[in-house]
Amino acid sequence: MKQDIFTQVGKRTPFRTPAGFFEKQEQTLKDKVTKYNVQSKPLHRKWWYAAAASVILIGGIYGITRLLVLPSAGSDIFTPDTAPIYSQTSPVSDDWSDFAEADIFMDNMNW
Amino acid sequence: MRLFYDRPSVEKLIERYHKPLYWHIRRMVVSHDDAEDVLQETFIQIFEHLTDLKDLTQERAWVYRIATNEALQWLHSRHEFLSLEDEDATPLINTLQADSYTDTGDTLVLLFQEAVLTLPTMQRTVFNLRYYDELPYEEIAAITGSSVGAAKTNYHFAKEKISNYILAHQ
Repeated sequence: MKQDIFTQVGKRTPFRTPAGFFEKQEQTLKDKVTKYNVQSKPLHRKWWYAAAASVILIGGIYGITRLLVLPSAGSDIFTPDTAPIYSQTSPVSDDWSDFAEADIFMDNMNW
Repeated sequence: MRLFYDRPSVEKLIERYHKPLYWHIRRMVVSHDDAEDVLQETFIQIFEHLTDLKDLTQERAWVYRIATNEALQWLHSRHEFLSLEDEDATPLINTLQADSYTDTGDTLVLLFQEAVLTLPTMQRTVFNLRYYDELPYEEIAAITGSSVGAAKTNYHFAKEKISNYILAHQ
C-alpha cells in the first residue's frame, strides 16, 4: 500500500508555468547574465576613477594649503631674513674681517 | 587524453540546466515568481564562480549545489522575514494552494506535494533530487554536503513520512 502512492502519482506535480515560459526563459537568462557582466565592469572602473580623483583632490588641496594659507606665528617660511647676509655665512678669517672693516665701500653699503 | 579541459561557458550551462534547475528550485520555493528570481540569481552565481569549477565531471553536482544553496537561502530569508519556525510547512503549503501556477485539479497530486512540503528541509531536498531528478546518491551527497549513507537514510525516511501523511489525510 505504501508503495502504491508513489506508483499512482509518479512524477506528476501540481506545478505549472505560463505558456511558452521555457522558450523565453533561456534567452531571458542569457540577457540577464550579459547585462550583469556589462554592469559589473563599469562599476570596477568607477572605483578606479574615484580613487584617482581622490588622490588628485587631496594632492591639490595640500598644494594649495602650502602655497596660499598664511603661515602661523612660529613659522619662518615667508619671514624675510633681517640679519645681515654675512652673519649667515661661515665665519671668515681675521684677515678678511679686518679688510671688511677697513673697506670703505663695504662700510658705505647698506647691508 | 585531454590535457586541457574546456570549461563550459555560462550560456552553455544555461542551455543545459535552465529547465531542470527551474523545476528543482520550484519544488523548493513553490511559487513560480520566486523560482524565476532564484533561478536568475543562481545563474549569476554560476557566472561569478565559474572559475571555481575545476572538476568537469562534477559539473551537474556543482550547478545543483549552487541552485540548492540559493533556494535554501531564499527560504531562510523568507522564514526570517515571516518569523516562522524552520520546519513549519504552513507558508509553503499556503503558497502552493494560492499560487496562480498551481494546478489544484488533481487532489492526489496536490496532497502528495503537500506531504513533500511537510518534510524537514534536508529530507525534502534529498527526496526531490532522488525522486524527481533521479540523481545518484553520490551526487546528492555532494550537493547537500552530506554522506552517501545520510542521503540514503534521508530518502528512506522521506518516503515513509510522505506515505504516512497521505494515509492520514486521504
